[in-house]
Amino acid sequence: MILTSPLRVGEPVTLSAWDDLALMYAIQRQDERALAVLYDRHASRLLGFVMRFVPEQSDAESVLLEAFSQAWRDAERFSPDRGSVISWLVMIARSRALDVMRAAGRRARVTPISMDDAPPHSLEARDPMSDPTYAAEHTERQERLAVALTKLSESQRQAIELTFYEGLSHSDAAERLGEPLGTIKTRIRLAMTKLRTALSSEFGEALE
Amino acid sequence: MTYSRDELFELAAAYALGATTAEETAAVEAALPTSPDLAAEVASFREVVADLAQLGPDMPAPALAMRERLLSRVRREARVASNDANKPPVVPPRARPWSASPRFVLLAAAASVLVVVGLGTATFALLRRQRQLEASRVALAAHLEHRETTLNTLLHAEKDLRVIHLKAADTVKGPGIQFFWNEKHRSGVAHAFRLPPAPANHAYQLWAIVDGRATSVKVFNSDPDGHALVESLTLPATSRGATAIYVTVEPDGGSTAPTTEPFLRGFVPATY
Repeated sequence: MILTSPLRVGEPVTLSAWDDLALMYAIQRQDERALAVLYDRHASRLLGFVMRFVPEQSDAESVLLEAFSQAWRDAERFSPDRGSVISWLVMIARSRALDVMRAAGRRARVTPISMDDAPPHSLEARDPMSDPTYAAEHTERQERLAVALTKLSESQRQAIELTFYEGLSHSDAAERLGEPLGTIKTRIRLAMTKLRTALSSEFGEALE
Repeated sequence: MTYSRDELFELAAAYALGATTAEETAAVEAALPTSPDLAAEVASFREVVADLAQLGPDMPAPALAMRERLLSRVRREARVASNDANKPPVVPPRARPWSASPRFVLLAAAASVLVVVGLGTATFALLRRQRQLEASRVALAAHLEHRETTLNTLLHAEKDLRVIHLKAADTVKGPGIQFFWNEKHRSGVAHAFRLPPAPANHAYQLWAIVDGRATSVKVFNSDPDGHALVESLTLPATSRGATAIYVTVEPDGGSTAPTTEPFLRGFVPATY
């Protein structure tokens, strides 16, 4: 049984109204228009992320180009059971950025994360292809995440920063910090669980 | 090293962050296809990672040329792949038979070629079939997920479901929308009918008129058959103060405020 679109049977006219999953399915069918819409929707935010690793914008743009090209080539490997499209794109972009960063022998720009990192009332203007509802949801999640990060302990935040933004394995992070590996693993797990709870709680209640 | 179920679950957060060692990564990835619970755990942490990645004040706009470079590249790759597929297979020159019985050798070689070609064709067909089935499964899963979301929006509202009918001037043959508002979860679903696709470079935009102000609800378009199922609507926490739901035609991507006259209107009854 072949469905033309996960949204409904039939070919919608405006791809920009499709959600990421529907676009991804179209990309799996080699629909380059869907790739263009996915790029328009996420390129700015992903570029901001890549520039944490590769500060020069032109270099970061090349990384982004590689990441989206890989997403196109590996589209069939995407599985919605294992996360959203944006989370898949993030990990591809991070991997390509770490390659470039390591080749250049430098470290990521680890900016301490705080509430000031939740900017987002400007999101709509910066990403005109996003619909207002999507932008509002995104803004709310970012605000909740920023608050949740302030409730982590300093050592938990550090564990997240070293592994995610610097690309260290938890073993390498343990060595860098001179702490037992088990301690780092526990910090990562606790921190991620707290952030997940904060993002998934319906009313965004405070963390314990 | 073999990892227990508990150990794999303990690695899920670090795996989602990309912080596991190569061996741990391989162990988690080997377990994912047969462990839906672990896959769900990883997926939930990956959403956190996606949000972490997008956190930060730096959101520069990529150079405009980047988009064109990306599309040019994928078109080029598609052409190369297509050319490769159309090329005739390269047949290496056959070695001269050394046996004293050339007929036997020729027959044996022909049989071998038939077996290899047969196996190759069968393998290729199986792989193609596997890809088709996987694509169908992904599409079906996504389709069902959307249906479930829609159904949940209606069912979970319990007594807090508001139904608003949006009508055009021609209430008999004109387009219309059934607008379902789940007050309990601040969500909604809209079903449009007899609504032709918006003009080129335009889309439809749903607005809630709350306390006299138009608030954007969703930008959408309809299918060629005149239908649209618009899901994941985020609505105000209560319909109190909401007087109407409108639809306007706006430039693709939507507007911050209506720029055209509403052509579909539905009024929220005062009793709500």
